[in-house]
Amino acid sequence: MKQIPTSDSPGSMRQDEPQGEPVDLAAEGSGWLADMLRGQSQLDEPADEGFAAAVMQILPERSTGSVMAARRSASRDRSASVLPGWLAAVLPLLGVYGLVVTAATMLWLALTLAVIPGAGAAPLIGPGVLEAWEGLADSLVINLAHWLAPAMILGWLAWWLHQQEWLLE
Amino acid sequence: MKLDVAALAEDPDLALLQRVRQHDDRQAFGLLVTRHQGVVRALLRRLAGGDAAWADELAQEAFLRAYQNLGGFRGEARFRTWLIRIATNVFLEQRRRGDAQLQAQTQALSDEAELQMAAGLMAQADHVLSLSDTVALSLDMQRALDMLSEAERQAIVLSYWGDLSHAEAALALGCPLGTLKTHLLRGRAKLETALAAWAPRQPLEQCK
Repeated sequence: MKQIPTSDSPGSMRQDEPQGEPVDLAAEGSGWLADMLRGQSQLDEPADEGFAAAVMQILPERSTGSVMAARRSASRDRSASVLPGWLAAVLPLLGVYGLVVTAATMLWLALTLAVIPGAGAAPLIGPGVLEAWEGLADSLVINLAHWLAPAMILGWLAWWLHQQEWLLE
Repeated sequence: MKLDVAALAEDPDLALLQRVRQHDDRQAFGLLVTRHQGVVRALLRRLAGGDAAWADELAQEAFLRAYQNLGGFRGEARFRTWLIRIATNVFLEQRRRGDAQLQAQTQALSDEAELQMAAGLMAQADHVLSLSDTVALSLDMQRALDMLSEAERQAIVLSYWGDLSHAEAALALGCPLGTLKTHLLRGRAKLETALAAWAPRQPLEQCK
């Protein structure tokens, strides 16, 4: 039922309107006219009869960019998320952590490739420090296997989930 | 647009809007059109002086603008209020522009439709001697609205057909709140006089 501002129907006055002004009472008018206008407004509403279909035919395609922007905006809006707040806050940090660990892995791979295949001297390293670099590489491997690799996987997974959050909504 | 889960559950418009904005779900927008086309078209028909064809053109333009500017809807008002504001703007723009060409074209179509409707009514009149009260009241209502000034008619139509509060109607019409109330006051007074025949009869007081 529509709410029509009438002085004779309690509660119909909107909250954003100051009450008690002399012009208010005069503007509301008598009840029968308000009822008649309200009834007529409902009777006037036409059936669809293909109107919606006609509107849909003239709608332009929305650009992919605007849709992506809307998605990004929605994913930034925490109140729209179905994930717990703490998880939504932590996800980006985990993502960054995953990126850092990935970079470290790449560095380790580069060093390993530079050090291990070197039957003789490594390209950038003097022959005297070969053992030291091998020790460092072994240490990195152990640390990665125990701590960094799971964190990297978790970080990437978290970042991906954060990006795909709209799928869950 | 700030939305929370509770609001999404309560207001189906918000859920549909989110589908349109995030996934470009045109079917969801079609549902929005279906839900609100009745109010928008009825309001525009009364604003357009009963010209149904022109009003439907304006309604199509209003929905098109709404679709193109969905990013501008921040959820501070109801979607229907926002939509009616757009429809009112479209009408006022056309009015100011004096788009006589479009109006003339649609008026021709409207006249043709009215002739067909009149022919149908005449055929029905063979069986029914008088128009139903509903149709008669609708016609009288339009005549009464036509008697009002432009500002008075817009104030009345937005308040009753658009179901807007005084503040919302004033915002949509771009006039001060007090001015809108004055237009409402005068418009209602004229309507009461013009539609007095439709007023319910007061029971006579018993003589003491």
